[in-house]
Amino acid sequence: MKPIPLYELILDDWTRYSGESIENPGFRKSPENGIQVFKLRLPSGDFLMLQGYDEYNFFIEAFQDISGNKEHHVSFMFLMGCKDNVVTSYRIAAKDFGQYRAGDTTIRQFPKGKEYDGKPTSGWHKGINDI
Amino acid sequence: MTNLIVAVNVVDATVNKATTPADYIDVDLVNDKLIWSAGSAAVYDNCGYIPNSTQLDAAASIISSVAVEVAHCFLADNSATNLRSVIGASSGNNRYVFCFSFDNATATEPTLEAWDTNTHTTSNFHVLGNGTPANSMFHAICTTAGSPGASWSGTHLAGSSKVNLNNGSGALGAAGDLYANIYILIPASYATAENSTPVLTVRYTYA
Repeated sequence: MKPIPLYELILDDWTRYSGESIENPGFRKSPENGIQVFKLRLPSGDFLMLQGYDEYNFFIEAFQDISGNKEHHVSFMFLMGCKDNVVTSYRIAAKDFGQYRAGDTTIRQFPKGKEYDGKPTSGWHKGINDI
Repeated sequence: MTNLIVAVNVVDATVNKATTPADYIDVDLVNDKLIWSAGSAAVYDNCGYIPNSTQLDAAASIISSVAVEVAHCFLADNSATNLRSVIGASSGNNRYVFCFSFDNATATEPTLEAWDTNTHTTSNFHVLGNGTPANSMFHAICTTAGSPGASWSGTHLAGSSKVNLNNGSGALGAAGDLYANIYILIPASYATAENSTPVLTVRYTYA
């Protein structure tokens, strides 16, 4: 059976692009011809859909411990949409860790350039916001 | 996915990993350990074994009426069954000490952090400032762009007090090596002795 992709983009020309997995999200290499819809599969199996933004960003946060009781793990998925220089950030726990359960979501808004720990992120892709 | 390799310099802290990779040991992030110690007749560079806990306890730094910098950072190299001194891990003007090699771009600037456990939620060890990051005994500094200077103090590393590893220049646009130096300074007459295993961690993102 074909695995369910982590996310799907509906692009300006109605073609679709799928991101494989948390390990290989592939957003950086996704086509640049404009995103109409970003459809993210949540750990629960539900989908989060964003549309109507000027720009989109998506990335995975990971920790690599280098001393102590070491572990490498992903913590959160970040899906961001930017409109009029305001970033709406969806931070979604990728798995159970600490006080978080997989799928726990925090939604916040930031000025563009301060969207991650008060700092900018790279890799934004153009959106189509006139639909 | 962007992968991270951590390496330590064991020969000459004036050379980087790209030009002189033989001076570095890649840290096995599952089996190797970093150990800060005063050193002793049983705990020293290239001793040919990995000291046991009794030997390490006996080589602990002693709290004094003056501040004490822990003399050594050792890599317990599991595959070589050996202890290697991380050259230049101190408040000296040493640039190429801890190397963080990313094999691809990141979406944000990688950061070096310190926590009590691998859940990365608290920093209450005494060595981490007993809940007050500004009192952390771990000092760290980004040396990616240049040497730290003599007798540097850097950032008190604990919890939300962290070090940007790309010198504040943001995300990595491609694969690259970032550098930092780290040491521990025990305050004068500190009231509580501690043997702890804080978690140093690198937080990074990929797309």
